[in-house]
Amino acid sequence: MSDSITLLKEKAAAAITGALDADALRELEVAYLGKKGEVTALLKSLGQLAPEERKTMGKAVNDARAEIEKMIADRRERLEGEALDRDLAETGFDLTLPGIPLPAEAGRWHPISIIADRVERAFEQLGFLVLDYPEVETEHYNFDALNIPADHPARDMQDTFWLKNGCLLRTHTSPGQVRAMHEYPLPLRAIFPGRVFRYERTDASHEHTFHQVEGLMIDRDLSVSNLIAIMKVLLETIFEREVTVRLRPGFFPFVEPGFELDIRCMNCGGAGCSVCKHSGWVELLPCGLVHPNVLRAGGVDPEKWVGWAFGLGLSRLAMMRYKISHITHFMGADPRFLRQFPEGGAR
Amino acid sequence: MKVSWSWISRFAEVGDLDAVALSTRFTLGVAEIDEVLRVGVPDATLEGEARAAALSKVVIAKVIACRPHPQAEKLQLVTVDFGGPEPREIVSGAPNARTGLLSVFADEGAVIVGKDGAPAVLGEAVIRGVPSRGMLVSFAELGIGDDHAGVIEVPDAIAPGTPLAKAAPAFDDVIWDIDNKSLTHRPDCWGHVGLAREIAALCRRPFTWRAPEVTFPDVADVAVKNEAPDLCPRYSCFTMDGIAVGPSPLWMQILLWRLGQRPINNLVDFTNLAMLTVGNPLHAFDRRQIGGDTIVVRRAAPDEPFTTLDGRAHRLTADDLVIADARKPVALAGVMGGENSMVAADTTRIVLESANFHAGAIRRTAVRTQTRTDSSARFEKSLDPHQVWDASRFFADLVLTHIPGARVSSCFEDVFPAPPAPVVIRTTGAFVARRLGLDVTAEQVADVLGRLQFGVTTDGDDLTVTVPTFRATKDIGIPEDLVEEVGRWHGYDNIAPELPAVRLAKPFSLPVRTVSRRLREALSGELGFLEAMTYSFCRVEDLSACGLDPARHLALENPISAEEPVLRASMFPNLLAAVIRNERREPRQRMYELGRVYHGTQEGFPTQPRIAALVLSDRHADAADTTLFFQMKDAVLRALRTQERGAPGVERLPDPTPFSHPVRCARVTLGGAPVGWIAQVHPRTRRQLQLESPVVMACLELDVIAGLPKVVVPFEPLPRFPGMEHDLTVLVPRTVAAADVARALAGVAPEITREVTCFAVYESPKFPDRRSLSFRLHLAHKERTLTQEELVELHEKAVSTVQKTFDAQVAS
Repeated sequence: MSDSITLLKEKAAAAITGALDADALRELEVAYLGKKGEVTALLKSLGQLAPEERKTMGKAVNDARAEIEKMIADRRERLEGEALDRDLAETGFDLTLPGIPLPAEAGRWHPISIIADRVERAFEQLGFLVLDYPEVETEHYNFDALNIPADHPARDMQDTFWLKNGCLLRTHTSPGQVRAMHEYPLPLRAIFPGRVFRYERTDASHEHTFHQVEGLMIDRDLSVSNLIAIMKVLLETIFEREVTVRLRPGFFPFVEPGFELDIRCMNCGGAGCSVCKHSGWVELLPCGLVHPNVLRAGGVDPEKWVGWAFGLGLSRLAMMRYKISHITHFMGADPRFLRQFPEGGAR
Repeated sequence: MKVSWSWISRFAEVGDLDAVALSTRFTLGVAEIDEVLRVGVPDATLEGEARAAALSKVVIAKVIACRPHPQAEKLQLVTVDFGGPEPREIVSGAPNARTGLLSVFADEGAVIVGKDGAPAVLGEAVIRGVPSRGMLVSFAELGIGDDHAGVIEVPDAIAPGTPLAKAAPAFDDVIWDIDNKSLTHRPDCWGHVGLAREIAALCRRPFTWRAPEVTFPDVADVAVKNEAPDLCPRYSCFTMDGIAVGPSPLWMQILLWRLGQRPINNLVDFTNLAMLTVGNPLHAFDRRQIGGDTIVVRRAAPDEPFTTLDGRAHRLTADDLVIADARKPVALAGVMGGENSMVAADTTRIVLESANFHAGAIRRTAVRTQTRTDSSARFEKSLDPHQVWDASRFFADLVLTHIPGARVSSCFEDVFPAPPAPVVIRTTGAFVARRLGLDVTAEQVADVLGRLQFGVTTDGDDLTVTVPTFRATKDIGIPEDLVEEVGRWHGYDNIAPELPAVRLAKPFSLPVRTVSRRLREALSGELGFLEAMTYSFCRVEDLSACGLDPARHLALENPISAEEPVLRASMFPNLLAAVIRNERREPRQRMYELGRVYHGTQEGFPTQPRIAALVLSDRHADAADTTLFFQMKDAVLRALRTQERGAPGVERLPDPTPFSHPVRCARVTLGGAPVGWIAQVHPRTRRQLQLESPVVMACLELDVIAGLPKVVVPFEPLPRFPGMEHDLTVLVPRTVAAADVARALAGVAPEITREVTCFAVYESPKFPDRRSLSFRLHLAHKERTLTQEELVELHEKAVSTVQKTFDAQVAS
């Protein structure tokens, strides 16, 4: 019995070393280790032995099996390595050969880009700069400069991704307010769209990564009346229809007074439906006059200047426009989703 | 937070107003109301007289006799006096129905909550052979709370026949559920009194609440030693004797249920009601459990053990504030009392704590010990320390009114060393008007602020405003805060929208945005790519498969999952993962993402360059085939031509990424400057990722492109003489670069050669070492038409050049 094991091992070793490609190896694997393979046959034959002998021989067969398995694996790796080397060492690759045009196909903008583009163009036409600020932020710009002190419950409200180096992933686009004040002369009109992060579990309407656009205007004399007018104009441009808005008090430490802006539900026209939770209104964006402490943090004298700011959820807006049920579609990179939006993107 | 309109009406003259309609005004002027519920009749469709009729059928009743049901062991025949002309015998299955019980009777026509939760109108029933009209009811059957253990036991003496709605106003009530988040900045609105004040001001009605008068004897019992005045601005307590613990009166039990509190016993209910009314949490200690005669307010010792009355054991830190007697903590200040000092059924003497604590400290302790309570939720909003006195008297008055024989047995021990200075704000009517864009005068501003209990003096347009203490803890401190008060009181709807008049400014666009936009237009336009987005986090597994070191990525302190602990430094691990997810369904993928990657070390601010990352996959392609690569090359060069920053090109890439094929890769240049790369995915990476499709990637650095100078190619005059095209096919060794051949061909007759393009490539197994390249020479002379002779001469020179230089064979 033990002789036949040794013989089998030697035979297998020779065959494996002689195998020149993956297919040959696979055949050997079946021939030795498969259900009807030679090793399996040996194992089956153990039943005829006395119990004592069965035990020692059983172990020997199993060891042989493991050895053959390893030989095959090693050989496979070696063959693959050789193939890879051959492949990589090709000398005929000429990167200067002419490009080959891709077959004609319709490309698509990401729905967030489509919405962002509408917002950006509307504001550009109103004379606003479109700026772009870092996604990894400092505690200073994300909280301190925005009048959110360490103990403030607002830091609770916005659960934050912290980096090991002490930085954080911005929880809103608002850090751009103070950065823009530092970078650009007054008066200032700017929006800054981008990716923001909240430390929360994802579900149909919550996502740890989503998109916002922040708007900021600083001038000598601005009022709540101006803010309402701009918001109305913006929303009518985006939705391409008349929009009824209302402001109600909202608490955000970086604005005073601060508001929640609601729009009359466009699904039911205000009569009440599931979209607006039967209230007739949909909460859309927080806004307000920039808090004097935030102006100060940006080096702007609140005695001489006044600002307003808003933060609009682009993901939210895209969901409303295209009736997207699940917010996680945005980051899924699934062509079945991405192909559903209009060709040519911008419109 | 739940608000009872009937309870609000006790503190402001607003009882006649429509609470449902008013809720919108409150949402627009104060805070968001999530839900408005009219309670009392479970069927919301009943209105007016029908509703009143159903309500009138629910009355107080007394059980005057009980006898067994002839057919059923668990049922009784119960005779009730419900104020009708004569008592009625009904069938009852309530285990607590007994002679002498005062309960609540729902007569025929009443609407109760049926067994299935739906409204049910009571009629005559025959129960196990005995007819029965009306029934004794449980709280749950009336839609009050969830107690359906037995029929209601009325603890206080109320005449049978009294409608329940009269005995307990909160039975027939309107309940507002206010979004707690929208009250974060309004510490004064965490009790009905504060809300009544707001509502009264909004509705221009009188606010009538005054704290009850209570006499405290001049006798000391428990002294207070405040060792942490920074965390406890005010601590007060007093002792009450003659307490008998028992149920609260019916109206209070129903009110508490309506406000979301389960009635427990009179002492607990009174402290809860005081909190829900005045806004200040209170705590009652059993006097027997306070060792000695001093209460110490102190920081906990590190690791000090303490068990809260919910039975949870905590280890405290020096950041936690405790209330202690001489030996042990008896409460976790502002959060929860201790198991060791809670009131019990036999409590007769209590010490009532009414205090004010530091918001941040309470919040930290509540979060750390995971003990968020109604109390901590209030203290962390920065309560007015003056509420302490009002809440104490409100509680004492409840005890004195409802527990016969109870008395206040000590003085009001009050440690309040530094009452905050009054907050005074100076502003003008013009300022408020300008900020709102609303025509208001100083007088109108003064009127609004006066209604909201601010102290105001006017001098012409100047206003001197003293902020009431309940608004001064954090809410109101600057003139802008007063703008909000006036705006919300007037209603922002009454401000006419007007676009601002502004000065024009020089136009400016961020170059990188223009770069991104043009790339997006090209890629998602004629080049047929889908724009995708992927997360900024990446999986260690994917990084390793790509040969990237996770340790060289910015790490998160609190990743959303342990598998994704770092930020992306390349977009490709996530994009390749997406290709893998999609490849079974989508054999050919053309996607790109515009986004940031993050580079940095443990110190300093990370750089976050903006990148365009493209992927092209074809599951059916042979990995050896280079078509995908050259399709990508074509797409990238076309996309870059939109940038007007010089001609795009490719050259050898000396430093491909670890996941790039070391040969099938190229550097991408624009105007000669490196701006990115193209590469096929390394076969090893493909295997490790279990990526079936061959994939070619391209990476473009948008910030680098944006930094390149604009190059405007000048117009080239149109040729005056007709040009010619001449094609030439050469068979060259595969080591020869097509670009070199093209360059050589262009150099044969540079004065007449305008352009040389390679338009076809052919490889055949017949010539394994060679490749056939077809070139087109665009020829023209500036001053005359080219002759056939010139063409022949050019052809011959070209052939001999490529033969000599490149060992080429020309098929002719």
